Amino acid sequence: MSRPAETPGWLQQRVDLLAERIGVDPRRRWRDWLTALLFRTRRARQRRDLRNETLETILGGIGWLLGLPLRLFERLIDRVSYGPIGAGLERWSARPAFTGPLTSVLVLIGAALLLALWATTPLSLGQQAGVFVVTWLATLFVRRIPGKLPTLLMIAFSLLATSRYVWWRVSETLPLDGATIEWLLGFGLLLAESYAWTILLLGYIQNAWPLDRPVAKLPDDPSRWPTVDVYIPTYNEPLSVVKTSVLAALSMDWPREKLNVYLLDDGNRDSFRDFAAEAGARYLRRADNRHAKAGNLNHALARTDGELIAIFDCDHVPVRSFLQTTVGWLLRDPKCALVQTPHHFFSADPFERNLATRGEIPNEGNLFYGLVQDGNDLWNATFFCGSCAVIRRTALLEVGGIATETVTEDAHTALKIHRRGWTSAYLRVTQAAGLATESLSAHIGQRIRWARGMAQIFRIDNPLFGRGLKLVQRLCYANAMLHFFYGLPRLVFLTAPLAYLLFELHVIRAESLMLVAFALPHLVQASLVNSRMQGRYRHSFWAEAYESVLAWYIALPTTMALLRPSSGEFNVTVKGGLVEERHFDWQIAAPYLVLIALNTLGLAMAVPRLLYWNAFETGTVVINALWSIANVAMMGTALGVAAEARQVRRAHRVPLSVPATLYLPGGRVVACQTLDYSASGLGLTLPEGLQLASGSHVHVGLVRGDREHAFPARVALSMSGRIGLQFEALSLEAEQRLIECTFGRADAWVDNDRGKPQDQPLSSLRTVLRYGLRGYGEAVSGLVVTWRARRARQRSARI
Amino acid sequence: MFVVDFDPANALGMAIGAGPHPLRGIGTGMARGEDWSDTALSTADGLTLLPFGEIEAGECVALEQALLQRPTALADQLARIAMPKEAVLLIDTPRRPSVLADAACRAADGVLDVLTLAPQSQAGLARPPEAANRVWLLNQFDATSPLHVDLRALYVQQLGDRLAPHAVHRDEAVAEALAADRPVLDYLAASQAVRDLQALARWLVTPARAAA
Repeated sequence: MSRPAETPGWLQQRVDLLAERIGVDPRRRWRDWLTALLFRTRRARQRRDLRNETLETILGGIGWLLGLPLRLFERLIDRVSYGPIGAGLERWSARPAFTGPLTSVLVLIGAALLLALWATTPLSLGQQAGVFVVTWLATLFVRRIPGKLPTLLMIAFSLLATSRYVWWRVSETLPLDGATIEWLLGFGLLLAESYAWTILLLGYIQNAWPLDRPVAKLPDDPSRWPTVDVYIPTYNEPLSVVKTSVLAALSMDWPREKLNVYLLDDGNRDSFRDFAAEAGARYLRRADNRHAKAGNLNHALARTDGELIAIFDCDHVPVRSFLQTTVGWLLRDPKCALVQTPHHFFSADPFERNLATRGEIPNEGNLFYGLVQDGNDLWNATFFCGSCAVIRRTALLEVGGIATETVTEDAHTALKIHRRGWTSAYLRVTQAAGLATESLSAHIGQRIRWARGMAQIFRIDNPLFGRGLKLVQRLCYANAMLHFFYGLPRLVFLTAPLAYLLFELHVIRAESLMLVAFALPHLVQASLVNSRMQGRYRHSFWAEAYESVLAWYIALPTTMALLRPSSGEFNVTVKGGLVEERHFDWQIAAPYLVLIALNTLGLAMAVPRLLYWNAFETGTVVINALWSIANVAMMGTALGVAAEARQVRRAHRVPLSVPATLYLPGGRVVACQTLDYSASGLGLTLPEGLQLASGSHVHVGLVRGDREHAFPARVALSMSGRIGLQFEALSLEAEQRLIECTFGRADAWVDNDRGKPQDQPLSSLRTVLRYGLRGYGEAVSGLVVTWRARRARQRSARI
Repeated sequence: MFVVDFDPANALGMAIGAGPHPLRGIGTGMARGEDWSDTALSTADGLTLLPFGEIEAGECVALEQALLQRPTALADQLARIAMPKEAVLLIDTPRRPSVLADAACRAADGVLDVLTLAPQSQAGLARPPEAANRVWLLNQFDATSPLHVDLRALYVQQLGDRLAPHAVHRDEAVAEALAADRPVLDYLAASQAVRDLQALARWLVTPARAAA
């Protein structure tokens, strides 16, 4: 705003105040004021609360009104006490008449026959709708009953709905009048849907009955505990990252003479060798880097002799109880070859950071480590995830060491071990933690590698065939691999409505109302079941959001790996970096923008279709338009993730509340409480009345068991009631003690095992849509920032 | 809660806020054969203190000889105190070896031996733990001293669960409070030493320990 010099004081004051609130320099021109007023970019950059508040409120209000009748009904049925019903159901099902293999087989055959009969019975539109309303209402009751049996009942209802939809879709809706473009697209959509149905069914089998295995106790006599080699492979990670893991591994509770920690350095770095020698770890390196991580591990396998092998990625920090927690099962069951524990990340992954969902919404990995692996475990199909696991040497040697044929050597090794008749165990107890991928591009790179590797295994050592596996084991493995093929189907769903909206192609030959009457029950029931089964580990509609972000990037590598499994090389996931500047990653977002543009164009076309061109089939236009709107909303979330938030600290803080002792200069010693810690610092709450100047040198004592260790530190930050300490040059021994008192605490990650709040499908839908809306805000403000930067560059180039 | 100062230094009164150097007390009473029941003092915290009293060297030797002849003399005297059943009576004694301290040990249900962290205190531990009712406490602990940390680990190893789990930290606030003639709890509630003493008290009166 260019203002005349004679602006009165009071007005100037107001202007300055407003400028400060919306975060614009008051001397800037009117254009900056306008963008700031419209998008509030500066302030949002600090607080991350950029949102189109008015729009959000209006849409939220509409959603609230639409959901009102349902909520009133649910309030009514919530008056029933469901606990006793669940308990009664458990008792009833435990009767001997219902158990035994013969009963199971008979029931299974009977159910399959009935389901086939049910799915193929023709019903009129009204009858089909009526059946749906009845099962849906029944489900609303059933989902309130606690226990695993009601889940099975809900799965049954879902199968009823889906089977009818599948039969109807295949038998009545395909465009079968010759090899036209419609025929091609129609079959493409059917294939994508078939994929979704398969994954849904496999998911039900895999997740219906999580095992929830307890920890097996070790013998009291430590002389009967096996010898353990710990492998920590590294390639190009900095020593500061690797150090923590090695020191924590050395501090694990295990008889000294039975624990050997090996730092496997593929980077041939002398500093690593010296560190290992000083810390008391062994150091191995090799002449070449063949087969990357798998080759590195195999190299060590040939040069060590521990009965068990614990493997940690070099940025995964184990807690002291890791071995005592995991080894029990390997002793109890001599056929057990593998014990896997969850991968937990104490830094936010790109989704959590860029959407600011950490702690509120389960992240991408929660579903796998919270539910899928636990479900696999029931069927003895838990697989190795490359880190935070213990493997029996004899089993590993029997399959020729870590598999080298694919880029996901971990899963493939586990598959080979299972084929040999070994068993596996999954313990859903977080016993290690590490860093999440730092940026979205690195995250996508990692997922591409996983997807490619799984596709490679599917091609060269397909779990559905070959020797040694039980049927459900095959299905669990198949699902784990097929899961990564979501790329193409997701892209099909994201573009499907365009066939009609842009080109008036009828890829589904059906009356719009019939489509609703068949598809809606399938979608609603499936979503209700998944919400119940996965609720604490994946909230409804987040799978769609995560997939929308990754689909484009994963589609090609998986397809290529299927066609030519041997192509491509191993890429290392980059960790420990820092997103220096908040920016919008246009390169990553390009495919999202294309998909959004196409769907928006489709929506624009929907208007004339609805009013003039296709006024005779309004239902079809409306359905396709709604589908496009859903796509646009999902892609908004993807845009939100592409807006990279700046990372403030390299050292990530972990909350911790334990007593600490503060040794002040002058001899006073004060009792405090810790707030959080990182590898380099500690946050403390101070007792009332105590003030400490920044820069003071103190010691801080932390307790581990019956020992207290004091660490020299400097007050880096002093606020009322709390201080931030920065540790001063610590000796290697002190560093090890520090890790024992922080990352290595047995209870360091217990909060992670409690899971997140149970999902509520409708409120989760609202949340996802809200994030979608914000994504667009982020993109627009990103556009402004990029445009400004470019203009500034041009200007400076001119000078 | 009753506290008996059975140390001729007569300093406990100051430390717990009952005023300095009372002239008469249980020590002078026993040495002179006087009644000491009227010498009890009360502190602001509701403690009842039996002071030792200002005693002369000759009287002290006589008291020690009397105790040598009749080791249960102190126990008999203390039995005269009308205490509720759940009350706890603490006796502060001089550093051992000492006749007074031995007499107090004999009268007590349990003995808390204070190890001040200094190189010479390690010598005292060379002897194996004696009576089963004896527990140890580390005093003047300072985790910034590697020697203290190592010594503490050694004591833990030797004494196991007979070492109080909370060492009392060396804290300047304690000395400052004594100098200011104020109970350390009032002086600086956030002092680590205060926290340690509170934890020690809880540990001493845990039911399992009381039963033993």
